[in-house]
Amino acid sequence: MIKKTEVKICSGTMCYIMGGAGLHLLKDRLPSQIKDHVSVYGIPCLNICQDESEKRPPYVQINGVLMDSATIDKILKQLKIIYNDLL
Amino acid sequence: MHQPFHIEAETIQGNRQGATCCGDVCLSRKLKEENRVVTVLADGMGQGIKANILASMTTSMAMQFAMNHEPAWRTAEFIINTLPYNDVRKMANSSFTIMDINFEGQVKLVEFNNPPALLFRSGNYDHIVRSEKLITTANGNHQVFYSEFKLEKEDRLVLISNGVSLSGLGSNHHPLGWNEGLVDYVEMAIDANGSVSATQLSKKIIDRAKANDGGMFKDDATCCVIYCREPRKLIVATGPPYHKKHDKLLADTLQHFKGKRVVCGGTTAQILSREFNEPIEVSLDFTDYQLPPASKMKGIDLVTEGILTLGKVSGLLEGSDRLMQQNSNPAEQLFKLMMGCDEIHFMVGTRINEAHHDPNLPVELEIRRNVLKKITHLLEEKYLKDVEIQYL
Repeated sequence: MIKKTEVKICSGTMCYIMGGAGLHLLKDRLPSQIKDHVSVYGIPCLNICQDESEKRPPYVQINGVLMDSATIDKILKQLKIIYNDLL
Repeated sequence: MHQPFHIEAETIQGNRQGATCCGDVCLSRKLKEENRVVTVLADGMGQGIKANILASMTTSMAMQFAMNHEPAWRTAEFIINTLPYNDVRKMANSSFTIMDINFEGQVKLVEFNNPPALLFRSGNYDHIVRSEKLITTANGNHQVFYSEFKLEKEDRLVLISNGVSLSGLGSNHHPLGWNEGLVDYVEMAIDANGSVSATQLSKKIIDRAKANDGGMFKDDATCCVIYCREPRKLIVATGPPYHKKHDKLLADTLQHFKGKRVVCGGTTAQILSREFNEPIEVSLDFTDYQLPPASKMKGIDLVTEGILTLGKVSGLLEGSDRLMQQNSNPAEQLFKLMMGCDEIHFMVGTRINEAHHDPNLPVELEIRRNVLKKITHLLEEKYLKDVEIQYL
C-alpha cells in the first residue's frame, strides 16, 4: 500500500506575504499519479518565524519535516523523491 | 454610565423629484463621555441647495447647543431668531426637531413646525405628552412643543419630515396626506417583524411614502428611526498576550462571552485551539490572494489572519476599499460582523512578533495597536458603535 503524504502550508502573515499565497495552489499542480496520495492542509502559523533562525519563510511541513523558502516547484521536487516509483 | 439598552439611530432620505440634493438634514451624534445621543432633524424651506443650506445651518446650530447642555427653549429661540424669515409665506425658513437622549434613556424633545415625533412602545403607538410654548420674535409668535419622557427597551421613535407625512396629499387613498396611515403602517411593520431594525423600518417608511407620491417624491422626505434594544455584541481577540499566564484569561473571556466571537491572528488562534482543545481547519478552497484564508474552529464564528486582515478591515471601514458582493474574503466577513453588532470588545495581545519588523520585508506591516486605534476611531465616530479595548 502506498503511504500518504501530509503537506502543511503555513498561512501566517509572514509566510503569506513572502510568497505563501502562491502555495495555496499546490493542489492544482499535483501530478495526477500522486494526487490521491497527498493531503494538503493549511495551518494558521507554524511559529517558525518567531524563532531567531536563519530560515526564511514561507514554511511548509512535509510529513513533519520543515521546508523553508518553499515554492511549489520545491515541494513537487520533494514529492517526486517520495513517490519516485510512481513518477 | 451605561444605558439600559442600545440606541440604534438610522436615517433614510429621498430627494424631491428633480432636486439635486435633499432639503432635509438629519444628524445623529453620540457623546461617548456622557453616553448621550443627540439627533437633529431639520427641514429647510423650498428645495435643492437653498433648502439644504438652511437645514444644515439649523442642524449644526441645534447640535452645538444640545451638546453644550443649553436649555431647549434657548436653543429653539436662538435658532428661530437667527434664521432668515420668509416674509411672503410668513413663516420661518426652517423647521426642526431636536432629540437628546441621556444615559438613563431620558428624552428631551423639542419640535418646531416639523411633524410630531411618533413613539411606539412594544410595537404599539403611544401618545407623547407635549407642552406648548410661544416664542416671541420680531416676526411674531412661534409655537414650539417640548416634551420629556423616559425610553424603555423595545421602544421605537420615528422622526419624519413633512415629505413623509404629506406624501400622497390629494390622492384618492390619502387625500389629506399620510398622517394617519403612517401610525398603522409602522404598527403593522413591527407586528410582522418584532425585531425590525431601525434601518429596515426607516427604509420601509420612505419606500411607502414614495409609493404614496406615485413613485416620485413631491417633497424632500426624511425618516429617522431610533430603536432601543438589547445590544448585539462582538468580541475580537487579536495578538498573543504578553505574559503566557494570560493565555487562560483570554480563553476564558472568549468562552464566556455572550455574542459573536472572532479571532484575528495565527498564533492567537493556536493559543485558543490549545486552551479549548479544539482543532483549527484552514480552508484552502477559496482565497482571493489579497489575504490569507479564514479558518474554522468550534465555538468561534470567524478565525482570520491578523495584521493584514485588520489593515483591510480598516480600509473597508474608512471607505477606501470596496466591499465585494459575493465570496467575501475574511476582512469582508469581519466587516459585516462588525456592522451587525452594537458593542465591540477588542482583546489585544501585546506580544510583538519581531519578524514583522524585518526591514527586508516586501511590504510594511503596521503595528497592531496603531491599526486598532484607527479601527476603534472609525467604529465610534463613523458607525456610532460602542467599542472597548482591553490590552493583555
